[in-house]
Amino acid sequence: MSPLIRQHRYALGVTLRRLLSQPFSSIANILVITLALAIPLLGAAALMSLRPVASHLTADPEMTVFMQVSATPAETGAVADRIRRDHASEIQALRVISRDRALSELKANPAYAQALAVLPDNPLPDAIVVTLEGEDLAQRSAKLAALWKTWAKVDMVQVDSAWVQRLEAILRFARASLLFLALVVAVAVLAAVFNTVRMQALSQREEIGVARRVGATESFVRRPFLYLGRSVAAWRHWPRSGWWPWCWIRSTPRWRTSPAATGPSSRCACRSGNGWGRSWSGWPCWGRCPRAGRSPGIPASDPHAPPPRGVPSPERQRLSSSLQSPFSASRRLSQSTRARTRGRAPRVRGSSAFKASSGSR
Amino acid sequence: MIEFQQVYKSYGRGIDTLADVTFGIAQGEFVFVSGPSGAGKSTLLKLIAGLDVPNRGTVLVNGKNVGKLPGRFRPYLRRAIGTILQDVHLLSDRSAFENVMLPLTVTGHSRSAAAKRAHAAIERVGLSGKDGLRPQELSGGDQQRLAIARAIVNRPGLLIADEPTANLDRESARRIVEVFRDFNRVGVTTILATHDESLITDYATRVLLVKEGRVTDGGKRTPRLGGEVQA
Repeated sequence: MSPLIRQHRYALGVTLRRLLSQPFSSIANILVITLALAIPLLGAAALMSLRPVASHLTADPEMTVFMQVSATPAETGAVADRIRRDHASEIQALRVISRDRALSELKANPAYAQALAVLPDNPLPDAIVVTLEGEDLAQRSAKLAALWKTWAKVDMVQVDSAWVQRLEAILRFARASLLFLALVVAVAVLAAVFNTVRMQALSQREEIGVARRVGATESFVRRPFLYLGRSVAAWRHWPRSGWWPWCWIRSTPRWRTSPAATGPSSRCACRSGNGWGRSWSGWPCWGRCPRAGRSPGIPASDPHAPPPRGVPSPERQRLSSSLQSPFSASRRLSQSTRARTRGRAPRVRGSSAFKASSGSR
Repeated sequence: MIEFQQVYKSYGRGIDTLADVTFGIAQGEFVFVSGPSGAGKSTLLKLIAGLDVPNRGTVLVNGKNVGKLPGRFRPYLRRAIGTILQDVHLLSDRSAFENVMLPLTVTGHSRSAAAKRAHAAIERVGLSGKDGLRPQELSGGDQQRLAIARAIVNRPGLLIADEPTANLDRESARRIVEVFRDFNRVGVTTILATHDESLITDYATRVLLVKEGRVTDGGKRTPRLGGEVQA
């Protein structure tokens, strides 16, 4: 085993010992981080659940073109034909409701029957109901309304999706707020981890001083704290494990009917990738996730990892060994001391208190 | 082995802790650094150990200029120097054995090799059987011995001790100095800072007198208790 690996193992051991020596403090830190991270995750879960609802609603936006009362059925038919011709790619369906049919439908409603009976003439205009299709319906419907309103015999155009625009604006605002919240939480988590490591460093100040005095490099001193920070921060992935909302977001609840929710991405995308997760909605995250095989949430290249230390440079080796030559001849040492303590004359050369260890270097 | 050339050191108060210090110590010498408290003994030893750097002048340790040594190389210099301070700075949450193991862990020795060396070092300073005890369970003299064991376990070529006997009774102090002298006998350059005149009289083969930041070389001398003047 190389010295570097031994040092890493030592650092890991020190980290675990420090964590276990203060179990309540460690658990409290982890809980704070986990709860802080759960808040934006829950928000994201709610937002992503609302999105298909909104997209479903915007899938059938209708526009109603009201003709002038004086418009003849032929003129109404001409406008309908023009809409079909000019905007064939944008409309999903079109139906014409004549003023007579509208009146008869209205008369069928007992609430209006008496009022309509006293009218001398039919006050209702012909109407053309257009169902749009495609993307960006809110903006397009406004443009189409403005265009159609300029046509002859068209009295007014009513866009039925105005409230959808408001809903989309609310969702956009919620998304931005969520991003901001996520940013704040990320900073808070960083601060919590930093504070944990800092407190540990303060409490271990004496040990750090001793280690430096006996020749520890800065990376050796730093390593246990990096491990500590990483092990505490690693719990940030806990909320994304199989039982948490991330899986819920990406899983396929039965009520979600949007086409966007039925593609391959609707399968479990929890990073554990083990396919056994269960979502909060109660539906299992079946199948292996496309990210299977990755370690749970830990990126392949960790920016916090200490820089790799290779074999010591010749300069280091020379420096380290330059002052140690007297001990290579120290086999004479303990012979004299031992002999003195045992009351016999020392042999001049030959043995050493470090005899057992002299061969180890 | 050690050479000071017109070294100045101050700590930003406008007063030089060390001023115009020039002397040399050859390999294998047993040198006492003497002087009143606050004279600059500890600063002198810190400069030798690479724990501090001079403001001016040159400190050469085995040919390396400590002041100009890049920070990343200083730990490797410290590994070759055994340092014992007046306050022993033993880790109270670890056993005596683990304290002695620390320098070997730092250098990445295997556990078995490190354990052998640590046991040998503990035995060497006369603490056999106490390696499982915590530092606070040891007497003051034993704590100093433990600090010495930790300092020698890396087989340094240079031992530096700052007032190692300050908190000890006379007999314990002598036993500690005997341990240092044994190491010196096998060629380890040893520098002891003390203001105990009786220890200097009994053991010193050379004395450096530090007073108000100035160092005066007392020259070679013959100790009262059987030491020999080093070449």
